[in-house]
Amino acid sequence: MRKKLTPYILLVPQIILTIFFLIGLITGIAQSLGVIPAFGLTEPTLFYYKEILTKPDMVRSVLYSLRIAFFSALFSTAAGVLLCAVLVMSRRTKGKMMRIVQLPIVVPHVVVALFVINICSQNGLLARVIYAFGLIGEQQEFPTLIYDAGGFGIILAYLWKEIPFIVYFVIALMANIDGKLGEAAVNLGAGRVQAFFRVTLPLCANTIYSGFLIIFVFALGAYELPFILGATTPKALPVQAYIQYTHPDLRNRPYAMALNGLIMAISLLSACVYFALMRRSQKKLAGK
Amino acid sequence: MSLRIEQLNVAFGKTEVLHEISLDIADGEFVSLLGASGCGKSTLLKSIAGLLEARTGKIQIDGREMNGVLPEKRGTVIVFQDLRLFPHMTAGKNIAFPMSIQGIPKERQKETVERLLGQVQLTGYENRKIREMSGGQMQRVALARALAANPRLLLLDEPFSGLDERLRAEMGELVRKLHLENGLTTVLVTHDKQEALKFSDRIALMSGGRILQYDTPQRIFKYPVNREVAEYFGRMNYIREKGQEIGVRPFDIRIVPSGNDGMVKDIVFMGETAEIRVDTPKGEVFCMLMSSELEAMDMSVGDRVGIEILRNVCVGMAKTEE
Amino acid sequence: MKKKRFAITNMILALFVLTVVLPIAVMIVWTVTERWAWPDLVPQVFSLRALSEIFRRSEALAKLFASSIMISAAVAMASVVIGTMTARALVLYEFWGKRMMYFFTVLPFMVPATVFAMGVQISFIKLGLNNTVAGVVLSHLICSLPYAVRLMMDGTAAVGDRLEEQARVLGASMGQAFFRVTFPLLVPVILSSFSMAYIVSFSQYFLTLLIGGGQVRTFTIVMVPYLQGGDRNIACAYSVFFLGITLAVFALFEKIAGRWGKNTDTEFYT
Repeated sequence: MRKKLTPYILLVPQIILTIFFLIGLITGIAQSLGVIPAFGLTEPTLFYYKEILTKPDMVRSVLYSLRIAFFSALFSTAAGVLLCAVLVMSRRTKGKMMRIVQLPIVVPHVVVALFVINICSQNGLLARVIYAFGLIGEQQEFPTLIYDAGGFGIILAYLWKEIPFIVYFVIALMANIDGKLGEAAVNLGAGRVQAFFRVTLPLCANTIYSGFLIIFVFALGAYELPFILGATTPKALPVQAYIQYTHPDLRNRPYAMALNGLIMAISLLSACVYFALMRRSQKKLAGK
Repeated sequence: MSLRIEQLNVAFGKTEVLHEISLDIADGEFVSLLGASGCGKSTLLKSIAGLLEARTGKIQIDGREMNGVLPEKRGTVIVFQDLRLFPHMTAGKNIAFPMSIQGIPKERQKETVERLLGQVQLTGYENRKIREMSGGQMQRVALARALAANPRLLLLDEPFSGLDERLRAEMGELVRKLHLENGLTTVLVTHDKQEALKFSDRIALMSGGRILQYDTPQRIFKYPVNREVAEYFGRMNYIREKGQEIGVRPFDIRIVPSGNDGMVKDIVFMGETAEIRVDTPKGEVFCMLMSSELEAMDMSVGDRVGIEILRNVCVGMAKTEE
Repeated sequence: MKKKRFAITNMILALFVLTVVLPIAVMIVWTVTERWAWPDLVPQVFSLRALSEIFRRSEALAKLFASSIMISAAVAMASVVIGTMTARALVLYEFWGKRMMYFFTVLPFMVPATVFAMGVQISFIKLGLNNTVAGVVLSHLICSLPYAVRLMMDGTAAVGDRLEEQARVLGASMGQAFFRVTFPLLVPVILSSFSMAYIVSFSQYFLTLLIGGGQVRTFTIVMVPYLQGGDRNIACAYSVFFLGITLAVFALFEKIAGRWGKNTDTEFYT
């Protein structure tokens, strides 16, 4: 019947693109297990995974990436939610303030890297301001915020872009809830801050967790910022993966894919944690 | 345009919503689908229009089989309960919409829009924006738009809900007028029995996805097929008489002050009418009468009175089967 | 107490505005700077050299403009069209496999683009898509689409299909009902989707680097060498140029969406 087929016809482009995506993932997994027919390797093995999880500089990369991703997501989400709350409570959810919020969303990551270099490098604006206040004597005294093993500059770059992202992501919901239920809570005697923490925030929790997850996965797997602002060692996981991928010795390919597999595993694990959290908080909400 | 439905079954997923519906409507008839919410009347309307597919059964319009015919080709126009005026068009453009679909030249569109606006008493409203209009005005635009489509069959799905009583009555009159003026076969879905009784040539009373009775207003009121139908149109008394249970409408019971069938339990004054409750060995009986009659009787609670049955609705009426 | 809270919120907002605006301002200053050595807070020498330089190489600039903006615009266009179709299927229809399909649309949110890119390149090579603009567009599309689908699902749900039903019974075919009734009401959210997909594509570096090889040069590809120690002024000049265009176009979109939205009654956000 014509009507029954319509949704499937509408989904054809999406299905085709999904197939490409799945091919990319499956190829990656297969190659990470050492199965590369083109090179004559057909036996699956966990060798490459064992290697990357035991070699010290690989382990350092893993921890480095995890640290950056986690703290970027954590601070962005926390600060973003705070900013969102401020905007909602001061009723500035539309208009000029929101324009400023939307600005960083439009800026590509490479330009943000440029910003960080301009401002946070030892020759940057921040260093010069500190110098002007007489707190340091010369350039070298300013702490290295970029190209260092801490990844501080990278985290700053993510914060600049992702705090507005969280605001954009959460504000519609938060404004809506605060308007209706927050008002009801205040009516029942709660202070505005109390109402926010006990009514509005819990109801936005799911969306906030979503935002955290999106930022975490993105920061974990992104190449640009760690490549431009990162140190020589440790290298972030995607940077390592690319180096192995473009290695002249093609037998390094499975190393690259194992690193990708690791990134994928952590991402999917986080997604599972997220879904589990969602299920639990939804049960709580239904129970209430 | 005549409509014939044979043994229509419609389901949503696993739930059956319409069971074995059979109905026929003659050209130019005004039929009401009456029933409580959820009884399937809107579903039936949508099935007639082709927006829903039936599992089994036939729908024929002017003798033509409608199975597989697209909604836009059936000539069945629905005015929905939520009106569904197109918010990005003015009143005039809304009304002109069906004509522009048919490719009618702009000049004629303009004339027809003016004429129809006149028919619904909204002359001059061509350029009004939808959100600038009141509920009653939007109703009338929706009606005009339906007429602009030159329908073979006009289907109205509770079009007056949300209006106050006065507007409801006005709109009802308007629909009746348009029906007569245009000779349009019309099906009105409503839960309001007064509307159905007032306007219809025939009423189909529905419940639980089935048609309980399909008859003229007089016959459905006087000769209900079962208890459920009887009770839909008014309160019923059930009295055991000679081993049978008979149903009697409150207005068909006369109080005989000198009689001794039972005791007056309550007298309720309701404006133009009044209600008297009498306790009899055969059960509690409600009697309705005009207040003027009540005054003439000079009765009080506790008096013993007699009951006279002027006309019963049906002898041996069985209880409604599920 | 209220005054104190007032002061705090204002401070937070002011701090936020500063952190957003300052870097942009500094970048703009660098564009018109000749020399800005340590430790001065203000450039020593101003000049328009950087700007004139990138405009002098106008042919190169035009090519860069074309490839960057056209690629992202194509990605955005395709994202919107496919996103609308997908959203329609997922919102207005019930069918077997719906949950699975929805999962597939959000999958790219859960797996980073780098993982996908390195895995899919072999297949692209086999299909002759590697080192081509088409391949770059396709890979960008796969990563931009989820954003468009998400926004279009919200929009489609808000508009619903009631008005289309009404149009059908008034004589309109499925296509007429969609284009004359639903589509006009979707325009604001379509513009949002377009903008979002465009930004995601325009921001891509790794995908373009890997799939495009050296053949496809976009804004981000050109920027990275400058960031690694090239002429900072030029990097800023390019950034200001492309960012300016993007902001101007988005401002235009917002105006259109606002004007369009005024004529409709449906309430949803952009």
